[in-house]
Amino acid sequence: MQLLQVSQMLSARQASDSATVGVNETTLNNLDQKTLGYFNYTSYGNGTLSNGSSCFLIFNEYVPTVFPNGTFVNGTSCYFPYYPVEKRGSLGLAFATLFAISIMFTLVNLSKHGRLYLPQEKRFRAIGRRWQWYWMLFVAVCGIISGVSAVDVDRDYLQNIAIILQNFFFYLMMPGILACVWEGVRHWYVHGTQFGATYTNIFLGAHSKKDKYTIMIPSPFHKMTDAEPKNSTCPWYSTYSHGS
Amino acid sequence: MNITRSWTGIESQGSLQMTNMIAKPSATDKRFKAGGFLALIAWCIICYSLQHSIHYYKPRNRGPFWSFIGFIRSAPVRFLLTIPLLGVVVGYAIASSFMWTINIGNENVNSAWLYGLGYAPVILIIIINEIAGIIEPNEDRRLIQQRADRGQAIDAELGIRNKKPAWWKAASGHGLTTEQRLKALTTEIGGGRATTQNIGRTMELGNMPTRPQDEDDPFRDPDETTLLGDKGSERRPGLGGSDRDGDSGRGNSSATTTTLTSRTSQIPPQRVRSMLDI
Repeated sequence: MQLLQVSQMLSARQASDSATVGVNETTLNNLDQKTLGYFNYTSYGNGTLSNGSSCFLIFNEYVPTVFPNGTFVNGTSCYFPYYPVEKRGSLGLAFATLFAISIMFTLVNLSKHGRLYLPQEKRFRAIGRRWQWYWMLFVAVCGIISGVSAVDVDRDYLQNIAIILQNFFFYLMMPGILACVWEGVRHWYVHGTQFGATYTNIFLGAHSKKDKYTIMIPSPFHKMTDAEPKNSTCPWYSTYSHGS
Repeated sequence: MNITRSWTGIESQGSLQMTNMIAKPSATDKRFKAGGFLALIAWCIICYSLQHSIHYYKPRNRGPFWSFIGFIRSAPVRFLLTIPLLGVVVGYAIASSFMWTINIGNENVNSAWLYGLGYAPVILIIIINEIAGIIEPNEDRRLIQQRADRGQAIDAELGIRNKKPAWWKAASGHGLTTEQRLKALTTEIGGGRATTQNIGRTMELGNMPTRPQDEDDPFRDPDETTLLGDKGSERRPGLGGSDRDGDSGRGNSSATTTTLTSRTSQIPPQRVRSMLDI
Protein backbone atom coordinates (compact mmCIF):
# COMPACT_ATOMS: atom_id res chain seq x y z
CA MET A 1 0.00 0.00 0.00
CA GLN A 2 1.36 3.32 -0.99
CA LEU A 3 2.41 5.59 1.79
CA LEU A 4 0.47 8.77 1.86
CA GLN A 5 2.66 11.68 1.04
CA VAL A 6 1.66 15.21 1.69
CA SER A 7 3.74 17.90 0.25
CA GLN A 8 3.13 21.00 2.22
CA MET A 9 4.30 24.51 2.59
CA LEU A 10 7.03 24.74 5.12
CA SER A 11 6.96 27.06 8.03
CA ALA A 12 8.80 30.30 7.46
CA ARG A 13 11.75 29.23 9.51
CA GLN A 14 12.16 25.92 7.81
CA ALA A 15 11.88 27.53 4.44
CA SER A 16 14.74 29.85 5.25
CA ASP A 17 16.91 26.97 6.31
CA SER A 18 17.71 25.39 2.97
CA ALA A 19 19.34 22.36 4.48
CA THR A 20 16.08 20.85 5.64
CA VAL A 21 14.02 21.30 2.54
CA GLY A 22 12.22 18.19 1.61
CA VAL A 23 12.10 14.68 2.77
CA ASN A 24 15.01 12.46 2.18
CA GLU A 25 13.44 10.22 -0.40
CA THR A 26 15.93 7.42 -0.17
CA THR A 27 15.47 7.16 3.54
CA LEU A 28 11.76 7.03 3.11
CA ASN A 29 11.91 4.39 0.45
CA ASN A 30 14.19 2.24 2.49
CA LEU A 31 11.62 2.02 5.23
CA ASP A 32 9.07 -0.72 5.19
CA GLN A 33 6.17 0.86 3.38
CA LYS A 34 3.66 -1.75 4.46
CA THR A 35 4.31 -1.16 8.13
CA LEU A 36 4.19 2.54 7.74
CA GLY A 37 0.95 2.34 5.89
CA TYR A 38 -0.52 -0.01 8.43
CA PHE A 39 0.16 2.44 11.22
CA ASN A 40 -1.11 5.33 9.14
CA TYR A 41 2.11 7.21 8.91
CA THR A 42 2.10 10.22 6.66
CA SER A 43 5.11 11.93 5.30
CA TYR A 44 5.02 15.68 5.35
CA GLY A 45 6.77 18.27 3.31
CA ASN A 46 8.70 19.63 6.26
CA GLY A 47 10.71 16.47 6.63
CA THR A 48 8.64 14.67 9.20
CA LEU A 49 6.90 11.35 9.33
CA SER A 50 3.95 11.16 11.62
CA ASN A 51 0.78 9.33 12.39
CA GLY A 52 -0.64 11.69 14.94
CA SER A 53 0.86 9.96 17.95
CA SER A 54 4.51 9.64 17.04
CA CYS A 55 6.55 11.86 14.86
CA PHE A 56 9.99 11.34 13.43
CA LEU A 57 12.45 13.34 11.42
CA ILE A 58 13.44 11.95 8.07
CA PHE A 59 15.75 14.37 6.36
CA ASN A 60 19.45 14.59 5.93
CA GLU A 61 21.21 12.54 8.56
CA TYR A 62 18.15 11.27 10.38
CA VAL A 63 17.65 7.71 9.25
CA PRO A 64 15.23 5.68 11.34
CA THR A 65 14.51 2.01 10.88
CA VAL A 66 11.11 0.48 11.40
CA PHE A 67 10.28 -3.04 12.40
CA PRO A 68 7.16 -4.83 11.24
CA ASN A 69 5.53 -4.37 14.61
CA GLY A 70 5.79 -0.64 14.27
CA THR A 71 8.72 0.16 16.55
CA PHE A 72 11.18 2.70 15.30
CA VAL A 73 14.85 2.34 15.93
CA ASN A 74 17.19 5.30 15.69
CA GLY A 75 14.24 7.54 15.31
CA THR A 76 14.52 11.17 16.25
CA SER A 77 11.50 12.91 17.61
CA CYS A 78 10.14 15.82 15.68
CA TYR A 79 10.59 18.01 18.69
CA PHE A 80 14.27 17.42 18.77
CA PRO A 81 16.23 20.63 19.41
CA TYR A 82 17.63 20.83 15.94
CA TYR A 83 18.28 24.52 15.53
CA PRO A 84 20.95 26.46 17.35
CA VAL A 85 20.08 28.97 19.99
CA GLU A 86 19.39 32.26 18.34
CA LYS A 87 18.46 35.73 19.52
CA ARG A 88 15.22 34.81 21.20
CA GLY A 89 16.82 32.08 23.25
CA SER A 90 19.88 34.00 24.29
CA LEU A 91 17.88 37.09 25.20
CA GLY A 92 15.52 34.87 27.14
CA LEU A 93 18.41 33.44 29.11
CA ALA A 94 19.80 36.92 29.74
CA PHE A 95 16.48 38.11 31.13
CA ALA A 96 16.11 34.97 33.20
CA THR A 97 19.48 35.72 34.78
CA LEU A 98 18.42 39.27 35.50
CA PHE A 99 15.23 38.07 37.15
CA ALA A 100 17.20 35.59 39.22
CA ILE A 101 19.56 38.31 40.47
CA SER A 102 16.57 40.48 41.27
CA ILE A 103 15.21 37.81 43.58
CA MET A 104 18.26 38.27 45.78
CA PHE A 105 17.73 42.01 46.03
CA THR A 106 14.03 41.56 46.61
CA LEU A 107 14.72 39.34 49.60
CA VAL A 108 17.15 41.90 51.02
CA ASN A 109 14.59 44.64 50.63
CA LEU A 110 11.86 42.48 52.06
CA SER A 111 13.84 41.88 55.22
CA LYS A 112 14.73 45.55 55.44
CA HIS A 113 11.28 47.01 54.86
CA GLY A 114 9.17 44.25 56.29
CA ARG A 115 10.72 44.47 59.70
CA LEU A 116 8.56 45.84 62.45
CA TYR A 117 10.13 48.38 64.75
CA LEU A 118 6.89 49.67 66.18
CA PRO A 119 4.02 47.66 67.60
CA GLN A 120 1.28 47.08 65.07
CA GLU A 121 -1.66 49.39 65.32
CA LYS A 122 -5.14 48.29 64.51
CA ARG A 123 -5.45 50.62 61.60
CA PHE A 124 -2.10 50.04 59.97
CA ARG A 125 -0.99 46.51 59.38
CA ALA A 126 2.55 45.58 58.51
CA ILE A 127 1.51 42.93 56.03
CA GLY A 128 0.48 45.68 53.67
CA ARG A 129 4.01 46.80 53.09
CA ARG A 130 5.38 43.35 52.46
CA TRP A 131 3.02 42.49 49.66
CA GLN A 132 4.89 44.61 47.15
CA TRP A 133 7.96 42.46 47.62
CA TYR A 134 6.00 39.21 47.51
CA TRP A 135 4.61 40.17 44.14
CA MET A 136 8.07 41.02 42.90
CA LEU A 137 9.24 37.56 43.89
CA PHE A 138 6.33 36.06 42.01
CA VAL A 139 7.07 38.10 38.89
CA ALA A 140 10.74 37.17 39.05
CA VAL A 141 9.95 33.47 39.26
CA CYS A 142 7.60 33.69 36.29
CA GLY A 143 10.23 35.64 34.42
CA ILE A 144 12.86 33.01 35.06
CA ILE A 145 10.66 30.18 33.82
CA SER A 146 9.58 32.16 30.82
CA GLY A 147 13.08 33.19 29.90
CA VAL A 148 14.59 29.78 30.28
CA SER A 149 11.91 28.14 28.17
CA ALA A 150 12.60 30.65 25.42
CA VAL A 151 15.77 28.72 24.68
CA ASP A 152 13.85 25.73 23.48
CA VAL A 153 11.53 27.87 21.44
CA ASP A 154 14.53 28.62 19.31
CA ARG A 155 15.90 25.13 19.25
CA ASP A 156 12.94 22.86 18.71
CA TYR A 157 12.36 21.72 15.19
CA LEU A 158 8.65 21.72 15.69
CA GLN A 159 7.21 23.79 18.47
CA ASN A 160 6.58 21.91 21.63
CA ILE A 161 5.75 22.78 25.20
CA ALA A 162 8.48 25.43 25.33
CA ILE A 163 6.56 28.09 23.55
CA ILE A 164 3.50 27.36 25.65
CA LEU A 165 5.57 27.84 28.78
CA GLN A 166 7.07 31.06 27.60
CA ASN A 167 3.71 32.42 26.61
CA PHE A 168 1.91 31.27 29.72
CA PHE A 169 4.41 32.64 32.18
CA PHE A 170 4.70 35.89 30.33
CA TYR A 171 0.98 36.43 30.64
CA LEU A 172 1.17 35.34 34.24
CA MET A 173 3.77 38.05 34.87
CA MET A 174 1.35 40.72 33.74
CA PRO A 175 -1.13 40.69 36.62
CA GLY A 176 1.81 40.10 38.92
CA ILE A 177 3.59 43.28 37.94
CA LEU A 178 0.32 45.20 37.97
CA ALA A 179 -0.34 43.99 41.49
CA CYS A 180 3.20 44.87 42.51
CA VAL A 181 2.92 48.49 41.43
CA TRP A 182 -0.58 48.69 42.84
CA GLU A 183 0.60 47.50 46.25
CA GLY A 184 3.36 50.05 46.14
CA VAL A 185 0.95 52.88 45.43
CA ARG A 186 -1.57 51.72 47.99
CA HIS A 187 0.98 51.29 50.69
CA TRP A 188 2.54 54.64 49.98
CA TYR A 189 -0.86 56.18 50.49
CA VAL A 190 -1.48 54.29 53.73
CA HIS A 191 1.93 55.12 55.06
CA GLY A 192 1.39 58.77 54.25
CA THR A 193 -1.83 58.60 56.20
CA GLN A 194 -0.01 57.05 59.09
CA PHE A 195 2.69 59.66 58.90
CA GLY A 196 0.23 62.49 59.20
CA ALA A 197 -2.22 60.59 61.38
CA THR A 198 -1.74 62.57 64.55
CA TYR A 199 -2.69 65.90 63.10
CA THR A 200 -5.33 64.43 60.82
CA ASN A 201 -7.04 62.78 63.73
CA ILE A 202 -7.00 65.98 65.72
CA PHE A 203 -8.41 68.19 63.03
CA LEU A 204 -10.55 65.93 60.92
CA GLY A 205 -11.58 63.06 63.11
CA ALA A 206 -10.61 59.46 62.62
CA HIS A 207 -12.81 58.78 59.60
CA SER A 208 -13.67 61.10 56.81
CA LYS A 209 -14.97 61.05 53.29
CA LYS A 210 -11.67 60.10 51.74
CA ASP A 211 -11.55 56.91 53.73
CA LYS A 212 -14.54 55.71 51.78
CA TYR A 213 -12.43 55.96 48.66
CA THR A 214 -9.67 54.02 50.34
CA ILE A 215 -12.07 51.19 50.88
CA MET A 216 -13.79 51.44 47.54
CA ILE A 217 -10.85 51.66 45.17
CA PRO A 218 -9.19 48.28 45.78
CA SER A 219 -12.25 46.20 44.86
CA PRO A 220 -12.53 47.10 41.18
CA PHE A 221 -8.78 46.80 40.84
CA HIS A 222 -8.73 43.33 42.25
CA LYS A 223 -11.68 42.35 40.11
CA MET A 224 -9.75 43.39 37.03
CA THR A 225 -6.48 41.72 37.82
CA ASP A 226 -7.99 38.63 39.35
CA ALA A 227 -10.13 38.04 36.32
CA GLU A 228 -6.93 37.65 34.35
CA PRO A 229 -5.19 34.71 35.84
CA LYS A 230 -8.21 32.69 36.78
CA ASN A 231 -6.50 29.48 37.53
CA SER A 232 -6.76 27.16 34.63
CA THR A 233 -8.55 23.93 35.25
CA CYS A 234 -8.79 23.14 31.60
CA PRO A 235 -7.18 19.88 30.58
CA TRP A 236 -3.83 20.27 28.93
CA TYR A 237 -4.57 17.63 26.42
CA SER A 238 -2.02 17.07 23.76
CA THR A 239 -3.41 17.64 20.36
CA TYR A 240 -0.22 17.99 18.55
CA SER A 241 -0.57 18.80 14.92
CA HIS A 242 2.64 17.86 13.27
CA GLY A 243 1.97 19.28 9.92
CA SER A 244 -1.36 17.89 8.89
CA MET B 1 -8.72 35.70 31.17
CA ASN B 2 -5.58 34.83 29.37
CA ILE B 3 -4.89 31.75 31.37
CA THR B 4 -8.12 29.78 31.33
CA ARG B 5 -7.94 28.68 27.78
CA SER B 6 -6.55 25.97 25.65
CA TRP B 7 -2.88 26.74 25.30
CA THR B 8 -2.01 24.06 22.87
CA GLY B 9 -3.19 25.94 19.83
CA ILE B 10 -0.03 27.99 19.85
CA GLU B 11 2.10 24.93 19.30
CA SER B 12 0.64 24.33 15.91
CA GLN B 13 3.16 26.21 13.87
CA GLY B 14 4.64 23.37 11.89
CA SER B 15 3.88 24.95 8.64
CA LEU B 16 2.71 28.24 7.32
CA GLN B 17 -0.73 26.96 6.72
CA MET B 18 -0.97 25.52 10.15
CA THR B 19 0.31 28.72 11.60
CA ASN B 20 -2.34 30.69 9.92
CA MET B 21 -5.13 28.34 10.63
CA ILE B 22 -4.54 27.29 14.18
CA ALA B 23 -1.87 29.12 16.06
CA LYS B 24 -2.66 32.62 14.97
CA PRO B 25 -6.34 32.64 15.79
CA SER B 26 -5.76 31.08 19.14
CA ALA B 27 -3.12 33.59 20.11
CA THR B 28 -5.19 36.54 19.00
CA ASP B 29 -8.27 35.12 20.51
CA LYS B 30 -10.96 37.25 22.00
CA ARG B 31 -9.83 36.22 25.43
CA PHE B 32 -6.39 37.69 24.93
CA LYS B 33 -7.95 40.89 23.78
CA ALA B 34 -10.30 40.98 26.72
CA GLY B 35 -7.43 40.23 29.08
CA GLY B 36 -5.44 43.04 27.59
CA PHE B 37 -8.22 45.51 28.13
CA LEU B 38 -8.78 44.39 31.68
CA ALA B 39 -5.12 45.05 32.30
CA LEU B 40 -5.59 48.48 30.82
CA ILE B 41 -8.45 49.19 33.19
CA ALA B 42 -6.35 47.99 36.11
CA TRP B 43 -3.56 50.32 35.04
CA CYS B 44 -5.99 53.23 34.89
CA ILE B 45 -7.13 52.42 38.39
CA ILE B 46 -3.54 52.61 39.59
CA CYS B 47 -3.14 56.02 38.02
CA TYR B 48 -6.42 57.22 39.46
CA SER B 49 -5.63 56.05 42.97
CA LEU B 50 -2.26 57.78 42.86
CA GLN B 51 -3.86 60.98 41.70
CA HIS B 52 -6.53 60.63 44.37
CA SER B 53 -3.97 60.17 47.12
CA ILE B 54 -1.98 63.16 46.01
CA HIS B 55 -5.07 65.32 45.72
CA TYR B 56 -5.88 64.81 49.35
CA TYR B 57 -2.47 65.15 50.85
CA LYS B 58 -0.52 67.58 48.80
CA PRO B 59 -1.01 71.25 48.06
CA ARG B 60 -3.93 72.03 45.84
CA ASN B 61 -3.47 73.40 42.37
CA ARG B 62 -6.02 75.23 40.30
CA GLY B 63 -6.90 74.28 36.80
CA PRO B 64 -6.15 71.09 34.89
CA PHE B 65 -2.71 72.09 33.67
CA TRP B 66 -1.34 73.19 37.02
CA SER B 67 -2.88 70.28 38.83
CA PHE B 68 -1.10 67.99 36.41
CA ILE B 69 2.19 69.75 37.07
CA GLY B 70 1.50 69.55 40.78
CA PHE B 71 0.78 65.88 40.43
CA ILE B 72 4.09 65.28 38.70
CA ARG B 73 5.94 67.19 41.35
CA SER B 74 4.27 65.56 44.33
CA ALA B 75 4.26 61.95 43.24
CA PRO B 76 7.21 59.89 44.34
CA VAL B 77 9.77 59.47 41.58
CA ARG B 78 9.45 55.75 41.84
CA PHE B 79 5.84 55.82 40.68
CA LEU B 80 6.46 58.37 37.98
CA LEU B 81 8.91 55.90 36.45
CA THR B 82 7.16 52.60 37.02
CA ILE B 83 3.65 53.54 35.97
CA PRO B 84 4.56 54.52 32.40
CA LEU B 85 6.64 51.34 32.10
CA LEU B 86 3.64 49.39 33.27
CA GLY B 87 1.65 51.16 30.61
CA VAL B 88 4.16 49.97 28.01
CA VAL B 89 3.72 46.35 29.07
CA VAL B 90 -0.05 46.61 29.02
CA GLY B 91 0.13 48.32 25.65
CA TYR B 92 2.29 45.53 24.28
CA ALA B 93 -0.14 42.92 25.54
CA ILE B 94 -3.05 44.65 23.85
CA ALA B 95 -1.18 45.28 20.63
CA SER B 96 0.08 41.73 20.39
CA SER B 97 -3.43 40.42 20.84
CA PHE B 98 -4.34 42.25 17.66
CA MET B 99 -1.19 41.81 15.62
CA TRP B 100 0.23 38.37 15.07
CA THR B 101 3.58 39.63 13.91
CA ILE B 102 4.62 40.81 17.33
CA ASN B 103 2.76 38.23 19.35
CA ILE B 104 4.86 36.26 21.76
CA GLY B 105 3.28 33.04 20.54
CA ASN B 106 4.73 33.50 17.11
CA GLU B 107 7.87 31.46 16.72
CA ASN B 108 9.26 33.91 14.20
CA VAL B 109 8.57 37.05 16.13
CA ASN B 110 11.33 39.58 16.00
CA SER B 111 12.97 39.36 19.39
CA ALA B 112 13.22 43.09 19.73
CA TRP B 113 9.47 43.49 20.02
CA LEU B 114 9.06 40.69 22.45
CA TYR B 115 11.88 41.54 24.79
CA GLY B 116 12.01 45.27 24.31
CA LEU B 117 8.34 45.86 24.95
CA GLY B 118 7.49 42.84 27.00
CA TYR B 119 10.26 41.77 29.30
CA ALA B 120 12.42 44.86 29.49
CA PRO B 121 9.81 47.13 31.11
CA VAL B 122 9.05 44.43 33.68
CA ILE B 123 12.68 44.06 34.68
CA LEU B 124 13.07 47.82 34.72
CA ILE B 125 10.11 48.17 37.06
CA ILE B 126 11.68 45.60 39.34
CA ILE B 127 15.06 47.36 39.23
CA ILE B 128 13.48 50.73 40.02
CA ASN B 129 11.61 49.26 42.96
CA GLU B 130 14.76 47.60 44.26
CA ILE B 131 16.74 50.82 44.08
CA ALA B 132 13.94 52.72 45.77
CA GLY B 133 13.83 50.07 48.46
CA ILE B 134 17.54 50.37 49.09
CA ILE B 135 17.46 54.17 49.23
CA GLU B 136 14.43 54.62 51.44
CA PRO B 137 14.64 53.84 55.15
CA ASN B 138 12.34 51.40 56.84
CA GLU B 139 9.01 53.04 57.37
CA ASP B 140 8.82 52.27 61.04
CA ARG B 141 12.18 53.95 61.47
CA ARG B 142 10.86 56.92 59.58
CA LEU B 143 7.93 57.15 61.96
CA ILE B 144 10.19 56.87 64.99
CA GLN B 145 12.39 59.61 63.62
CA GLN B 146 9.34 61.77 62.99
CA ARG B 147 8.17 61.31 66.54
CA ALA B 148 11.60 62.10 67.93
CA ASP B 149 11.81 65.22 65.79
CA ARG B 150 8.35 66.25 66.84
CA GLY B 151 9.29 65.73 70.48
CA GLN B 152 12.34 67.90 70.10
CA ALA B 153 10.38 70.59 68.31
CA ILE B 154 7.81 70.64 71.09
CA ASP B 155 10.56 70.85 73.69
CA ALA B 156 12.05 73.78 71.87
CA GLU B 157 8.66 75.46 71.74
CA LEU B 158 8.06 74.98 75.42
CA GLY B 159 11.51 76.25 76.19
CA ILE B 160 12.74 73.09 77.81
CA ARG B 161 16.44 73.09 77.38
CA ASN B 162 18.95 70.68 78.85
CA LYS B 163 16.42 67.92 78.70
CA LYS B 164 18.00 64.71 79.82
CA PRO B 165 17.86 61.81 77.39
CA ALA B 166 15.66 58.83 78.13
CA TRP B 167 18.41 56.64 79.49
CA TRP B 168 19.39 59.19 82.12
CA LYS B 169 16.88 57.92 84.64
CA ALA B 170 18.32 54.46 84.59
CA ALA B 171 21.73 55.71 85.63
CA SER B 172 20.39 57.80 88.51
CA GLY B 173 19.44 55.00 90.88
CA HIS B 174 21.90 56.02 93.59
CA GLY B 175 19.73 55.90 96.65
CA LEU B 176 18.76 52.28 96.36
CA THR B 177 20.10 49.23 98.04
CA THR B 178 21.56 46.42 96.03
CA GLU B 179 18.22 44.71 96.14
CA GLN B 180 16.27 47.67 94.81
CA ARG B 181 18.83 48.36 92.16
CA LEU B 182 18.37 44.81 90.95
CA LYS B 183 14.61 45.26 90.91
CA ALA B 184 14.86 48.53 89.06
CA LEU B 185 17.12 46.88 86.53
CA THR B 186 14.67 44.10 85.87
CA THR B 187 11.72 46.42 85.49
CA GLU B 188 13.63 48.44 82.96
CA ILE B 189 14.65 45.42 80.95
CA GLY B 190 11.08 44.42 80.79
CA GLY B 191 10.24 41.56 83.04
CA GLY B 192 6.69 42.00 81.90
CA ARG B 193 3.55 42.77 83.68
CA ALA B 194 4.16 40.19 86.36
CA THR B 195 7.30 41.91 87.45
CA THR B 196 5.63 45.27 87.63
CA GLN B 197 2.85 43.84 89.73
CA ASN B 198 5.31 42.23 92.01
CA ILE B 199 7.12 45.46 92.45
CA GLY B 200 3.84 47.22 93.13
CA ARG B 201 2.91 44.66 95.68
CA THR B 202 6.20 44.83 97.48
CA MET B 203 6.12 48.58 97.50
CA GLU B 204 2.67 48.60 99.00
CA LEU B 205 3.85 46.28 101.67
CA GLY B 206 6.46 48.84 102.43
CA ASN B 207 9.69 47.27 101.42
CA MET B 208 11.22 50.55 100.39
CA PRO B 209 13.78 51.84 102.80
CA THR B 210 12.51 54.70 104.92
CA ARG B 211 15.69 55.31 106.82
CA PRO B 212 16.97 58.75 105.97
CA GLN B 213 20.52 57.48 106.00
CA ASP B 214 19.92 55.45 102.85
CA GLU B 215 18.90 58.45 100.87
CA ASP B 216 21.40 60.92 102.15
CA ASP B 217 24.65 59.12 101.61
CA PRO B 218 24.84 57.43 98.23
CA PHE B 219 28.32 56.14 98.66
CA ARG B 220 27.82 54.34 101.92
CA ASP B 221 27.28 50.61 101.68
CA PRO B 222 23.85 49.81 103.02
CA ASP B 223 23.56 47.76 106.18
CA GLU B 224 23.14 44.08 105.29
CA THR B 225 20.56 43.54 108.03
CA THR B 226 17.97 45.54 106.14
CA LEU B 227 17.80 42.78 103.55
CA LEU B 228 16.33 40.39 106.07
CA GLY B 229 13.53 42.77 106.73
CA ASP B 230 12.82 41.82 110.35
CA LYS B 231 14.74 44.67 111.73
CA GLY B 232 13.31 46.89 109.06
CA SER B 233 9.78 46.12 110.08
CA GLU B 234 10.70 46.64 113.68
CA ARG B 235 12.12 49.99 112.88
CA ARG B 236 9.15 51.16 110.93
CA PRO B 237 6.66 51.77 113.70
CA GLY B 238 9.15 53.98 115.43
CA LEU B 239 9.91 55.85 112.33
CA GLY B 240 6.30 56.19 111.43
CA GLY B 241 5.57 57.69 114.77
CA SER B 242 8.39 60.17 114.62
CA ASP B 243 7.51 61.28 111.12
CA ARG B 244 3.87 61.85 111.68
CA ASP B 245 4.48 65.52 111.86
CA GLY B 246 6.78 65.43 108.85
CA ASP B 247 6.18 66.56 105.26
CA SER B 248 3.13 65.24 103.49
CA GLY B 249 4.90 62.98 101.04
CA ARG B 250 6.72 60.90 103.53
CA GLY B 251 3.85 61.18 105.95
CA ASN B 252 1.61 59.36 103.54
CA SER B 253 4.00 56.51 103.01
CA SER B 254 4.69 56.14 106.68
CA ALA B 255 0.97 56.25 107.42
CA THR B 256 0.51 53.28 105.17
CA THR B 257 3.42 51.47 106.69
CA THR B 258 2.07 51.94 110.22
CA THR B 259 -1.28 50.51 109.26
CA LEU B 260 0.33 47.55 107.66
CA THR B 261 3.07 46.85 110.14
CA SER B 262 1.16 44.08 111.78
CA ARG B 263 0.98 42.33 108.46
CA THR B 264 4.54 43.02 107.52
CA SER B 265 5.89 41.64 110.72
CA GLN B 266 4.17 38.38 109.97
CA ILE B 267 4.94 38.16 106.25
CA PRO B 268 8.61 38.36 105.53
CA PRO B 269 9.28 40.87 102.77
CA GLN B 270 10.30 39.61 99.40
CA ARG B 271 13.90 38.73 99.32
CA VAL B 272 15.67 38.85 96.02
CA ARG B 273 18.32 36.20 95.64
CA SER B 274 18.81 36.42 91.92
CA MET B 275 17.20 37.93 88.88
CA LEU B 276 15.54 34.62 88.17
CA ASP B 277 13.38 35.07 91.25
CA ILE B 278 11.51 38.03 89.87
